[in-house]
Amino acid sequence: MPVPVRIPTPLRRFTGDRAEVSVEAAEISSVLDRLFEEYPGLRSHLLNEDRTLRAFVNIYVNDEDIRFLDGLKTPVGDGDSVSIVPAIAGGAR
Amino acid sequence: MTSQPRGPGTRAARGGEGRKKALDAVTQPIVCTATYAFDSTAEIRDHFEGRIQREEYGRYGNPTVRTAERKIAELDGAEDCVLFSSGMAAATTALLALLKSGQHIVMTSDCYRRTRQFVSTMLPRWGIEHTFVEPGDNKALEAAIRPGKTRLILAESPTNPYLRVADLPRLVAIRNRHPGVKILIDSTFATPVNQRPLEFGVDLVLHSATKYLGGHNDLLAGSLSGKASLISGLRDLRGILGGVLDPHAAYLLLRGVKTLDLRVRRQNETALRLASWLEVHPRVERVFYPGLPSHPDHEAAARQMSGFGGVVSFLVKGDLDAASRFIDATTLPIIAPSLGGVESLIEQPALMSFYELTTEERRAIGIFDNLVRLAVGIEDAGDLIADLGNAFAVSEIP
Repeated sequence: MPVPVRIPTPLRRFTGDRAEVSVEAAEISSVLDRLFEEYPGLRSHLLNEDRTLRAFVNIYVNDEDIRFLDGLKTPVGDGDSVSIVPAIAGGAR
Repeated sequence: MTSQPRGPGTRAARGGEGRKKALDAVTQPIVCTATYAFDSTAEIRDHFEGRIQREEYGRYGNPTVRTAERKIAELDGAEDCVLFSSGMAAATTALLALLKSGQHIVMTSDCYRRTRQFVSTMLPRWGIEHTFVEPGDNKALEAAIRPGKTRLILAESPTNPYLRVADLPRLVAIRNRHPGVKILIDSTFATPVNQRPLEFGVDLVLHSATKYLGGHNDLLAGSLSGKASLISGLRDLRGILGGVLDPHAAYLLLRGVKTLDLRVRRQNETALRLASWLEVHPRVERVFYPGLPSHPDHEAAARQMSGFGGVVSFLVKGDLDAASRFIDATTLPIIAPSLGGVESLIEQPALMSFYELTTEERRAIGIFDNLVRLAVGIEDAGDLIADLGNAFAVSEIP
């Protein structure tokens, strides 16, 4: 099932200005992989070299931070939506 | 630290700290600062782009606190640890992070009264439901799980005050059958020396560091340990809720934790000796200590703990007043709430923690009026036995 992914304003220049894109994936790490296939510019802004999420970037499934779910293995399915959200400046590390 | 895991004595004395410290000191400095300076605006950008690692503001981090966090992480066998101003700050922050409106928590009923109060009177204000189950009743625990709604199983192990021990492998097996559920174990009474729940697959470990970790009855603090990403989320919420640990307290905690292994091993030995002595004392009705074969969880404890801890609870023959007279006749333990420090502490839960209830109301929640809780310190076992023996003798009604 395609999952909607909300793109934060500063990163929309990599998605042709789209605020929301759709990818087919069953868990967050695949969502990211699909996203980077379509929009390669996003990768270095979201992930470190070791595939951990970069500082000050949070990912939500519906309105829940994936760090409190299953991290990058958090499953996504029918009716779920994913949001990439820059952490409020200050305090994310 | 990817090398062979070190023993608890080494982790306590040296864990989380490199050999070289600031200014060639052997110890960590106490960094008293509310905020942190940047050299330039370029450094601010580097910080928010994640190109450098540094502190930013006192509520988000402190180097002295960070060192104590790394030490406790190593003791717990965790990827990371986050410290709070108290065990309750840690507990409430974890619960607020992990539960939202419409979700559900299952917890065992023999537990610290204030945690119970938060779950039963505060969380419902935000539409978070709960079920309490008897410790040891794993069938009831699993039956209480609501698919899609239950997010957390919370248990102390050992519990307060009856020292019930949660069967950790069994709890983890239950968790694995129910996606979306996490397990938080309050391992305060055990300490990382005796029990490391994360090794069994538990998600989060909580300590009231006020107790054994600090070890000297001179600070309040709380810790949560677990996977790095989960701790990172909790650290963020700490930065919003504000339950941060003062660097002075963090230094005392660092200092106290260094002797954790030594202290706990001594307390384990003394408590077992005392529990055995109490069990055959004519003035004692019953003793609760996981190290005694008479304890309902003795086998589970023997399987998953390397020592049974320093708290011994027992029923003095008689009523509320009989137990009070006994306590008043002791001279060595200090009459005070809390546990885990180098000074032995003694209390009567009916008076100290359930004062406003009647005898019947206390009995209904499992608290007996004649219950005494002794938190063994590092005094010589012989001296403690002599003092308690004398207290029994002089408090006997002729």
